[in-house]
Amino acid sequence: MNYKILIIVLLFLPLWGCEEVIEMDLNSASSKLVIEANLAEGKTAMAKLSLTSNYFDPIAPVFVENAIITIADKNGANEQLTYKGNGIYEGTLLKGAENNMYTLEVEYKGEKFIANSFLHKKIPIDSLRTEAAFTPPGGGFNNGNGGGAVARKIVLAMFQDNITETNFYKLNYYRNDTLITSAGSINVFDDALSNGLLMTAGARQIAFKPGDASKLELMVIDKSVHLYFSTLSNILSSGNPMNSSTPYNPESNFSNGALGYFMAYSFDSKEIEIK
Amino acid sequence: MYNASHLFGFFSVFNSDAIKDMTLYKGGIPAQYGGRASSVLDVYMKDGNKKDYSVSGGIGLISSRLTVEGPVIKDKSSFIVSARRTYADLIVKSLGIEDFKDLKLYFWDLNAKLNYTINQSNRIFVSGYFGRDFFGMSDMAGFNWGNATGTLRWNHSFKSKLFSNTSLIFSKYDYAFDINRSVVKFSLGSGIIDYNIKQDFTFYLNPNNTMHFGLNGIYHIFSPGELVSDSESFNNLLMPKRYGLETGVYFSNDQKISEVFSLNYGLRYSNFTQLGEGMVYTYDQENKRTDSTYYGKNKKIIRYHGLEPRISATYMLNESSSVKASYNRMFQYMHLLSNSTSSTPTDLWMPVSTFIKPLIADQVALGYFQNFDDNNYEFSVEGYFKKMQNYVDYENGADILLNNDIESQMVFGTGTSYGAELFFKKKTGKFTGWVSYTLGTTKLQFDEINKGLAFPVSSTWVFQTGNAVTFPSGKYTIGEQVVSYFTERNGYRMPNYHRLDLGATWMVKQTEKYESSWTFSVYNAYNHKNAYSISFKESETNPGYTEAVKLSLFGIVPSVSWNFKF
Repeated sequence: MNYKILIIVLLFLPLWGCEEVIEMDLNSASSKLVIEANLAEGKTAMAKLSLTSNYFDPIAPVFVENAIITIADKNGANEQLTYKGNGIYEGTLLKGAENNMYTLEVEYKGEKFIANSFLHKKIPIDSLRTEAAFTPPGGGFNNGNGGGAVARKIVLAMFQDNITETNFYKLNYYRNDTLITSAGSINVFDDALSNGLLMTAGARQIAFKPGDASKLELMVIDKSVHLYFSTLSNILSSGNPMNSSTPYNPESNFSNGALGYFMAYSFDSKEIEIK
Repeated sequence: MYNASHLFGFFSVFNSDAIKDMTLYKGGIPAQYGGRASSVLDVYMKDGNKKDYSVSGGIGLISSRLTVEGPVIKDKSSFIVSARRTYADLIVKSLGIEDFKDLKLYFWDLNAKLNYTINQSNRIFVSGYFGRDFFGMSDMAGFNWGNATGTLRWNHSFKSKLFSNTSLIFSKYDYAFDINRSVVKFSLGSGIIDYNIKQDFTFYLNPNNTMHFGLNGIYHIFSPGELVSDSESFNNLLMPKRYGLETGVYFSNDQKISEVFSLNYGLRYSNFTQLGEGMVYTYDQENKRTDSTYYGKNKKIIRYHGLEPRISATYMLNESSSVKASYNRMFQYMHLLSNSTSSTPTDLWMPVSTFIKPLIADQVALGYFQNFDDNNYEFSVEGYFKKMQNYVDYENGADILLNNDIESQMVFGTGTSYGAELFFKKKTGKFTGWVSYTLGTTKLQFDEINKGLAFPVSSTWVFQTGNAVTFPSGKYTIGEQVVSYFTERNGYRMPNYHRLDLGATWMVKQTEKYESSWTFSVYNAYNHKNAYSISFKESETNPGYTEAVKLSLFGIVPSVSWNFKF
């Protein structure tokens, strides 16, 4: 046998590996209550209630309509939220104020779920600045915004951190007034490495096209909410095989085993048009 | 060697070209080995050819290797240098997964040894190992990590019955992690340095008693991490180093009590002192610091010590069968913290401290060994039970990187493991091979190296039950993103892993001076798509549904290399 021919054949044999969708038999757990509740400085409270579903069911939230939700501040002012449909409950009177502690209580099927969240003082955004987006060949990290023909930009916020306390932040991005909620859009951080400094923060994976209006909302949140969103973001990125920590449920600030969070926050926003 | 694998566990750090012999102790670990609570792999490097120079190596599709050995002073001194370099990233790139397009993944390593025979009773050895792995995903992130060790050993024989080995050992493991993320460039580094001095004696009292005794001391320097950024928006973060002195003394005896019964018994006394300088904090229920104490340089912070009895017995039932039983206790004064299921280089070694107690393992093992047909076949069955105290785990969401208060997030428990291993081997003849079945939680395996035959063919089939993993039992939506809901940690199992490797070597030319051969091998011959990971996410092709996605790496990988020796 002419081994040289054999080698040439072996050299050109395709070498492959792959991703494939597989059938899995997963346990079905009994439904759990999921609460997403927000109270912004100067605004009234909003809560969204749903239930968990089996993993392979279609994604269609099961809304909870008949819960009793009450919000109260540390001085005893309180209000019951009204149901508006699609699992959403809203307040009308009690507005978030800086340096106040808020308690949200949800009563559902005879059980009570309680969370506390502190509304911290606002930290203003000094300015926004843009940088050229990193564009890998093929556009893998570009948030589904099409090819690399247009020079796209990322937007960063600069602000002065408060030196006297440990601050926790969440940064929301809006494109043309629509909140970006795609994978990887949860952006929470703290000032552990930057206490008292002029900080620059932003999401490198969210890129904008010329003509886009980009709005950044810098939220000051409390420690337990920061823990919730950082663990949530960790779980959501766990599809990446290089990030294979043992999965767990994000650390909720609700008592009694409810999933989700209650976030009281102050915020400042700035908008920029991408050139 | 703090990280014994290359490329996330895919290759061993031990280069078979540079290894003379290795012994694996699973149970009945002799008293001269200490500091770890698991099996011991004792590796002996080749000394190098004392008579002639020789060069051997191979050039292949995945990796190339080269070994040079020969005399420095004929019959008195010789050297060996063996090096490897892989280019596995070229293969991974061809997997066609979008995220892996800009992957960089390779390693190199180098083994070197020099020996010098001063006279009949004195010999000196100098050896070293250096290796480094590189891993990067485009220019967003890059890792590199590696071991470096150096050993100076003096072997001396007092008369003919007492032998001494004095070793000075330096060992270093470190990793660096560069990342370009959200605005700034970060560089993160961590590592361990050991200075080890060891004195071992072997005393051949009489044909029935061989004694081993000695002592050693290791000064450890742990660098848990430092984070440096190029931006003025971030303060650099330097985690204080930790220092420790680990010492041990031991004595053991191999005693042949009768023709059919032999015993190995011994005792090790080990000791670990955490030394300053350093700050020690106390914490309240909510993991907040309540108090701190400063310890100056080389001041004792805390000391742990313990006795480690070791005993094993062998009883020959007849000429071809025997039973072995063993018990040993082992102390391990550092814990490996890992937040992932695969072997990644960011695993953190943490020494004992005021919070962290040493890991204590007690293991009993019982085995039956049988040879058949004039030793052509070997069969064994072994069972073990191991109990571990002060086993460390950490709370959900604990950050093991750059966390100076990591101790406040640790939880301590006990662990048990047990299992059985069946082994069958055909040792001689044209067809040789072995089958091993392990029921338990660990597995170790070596592919044997074929030599000498004109066209040796080898095959290895590996089968492993999947590891316990955590999969979701439900899902929900938060801010329009689908989140998995977990009810039990490690409640599921990964699919079983199996693959067949084939290899054949074709000796083209073989003379006394020159050898040339081709090795053809096929990794995963029947292209079984073993699951490297299973992830759960919203379907990209079928929005509104969630799906389980299996990622399999390394399907069938044919490879060819040219080997030479002259």
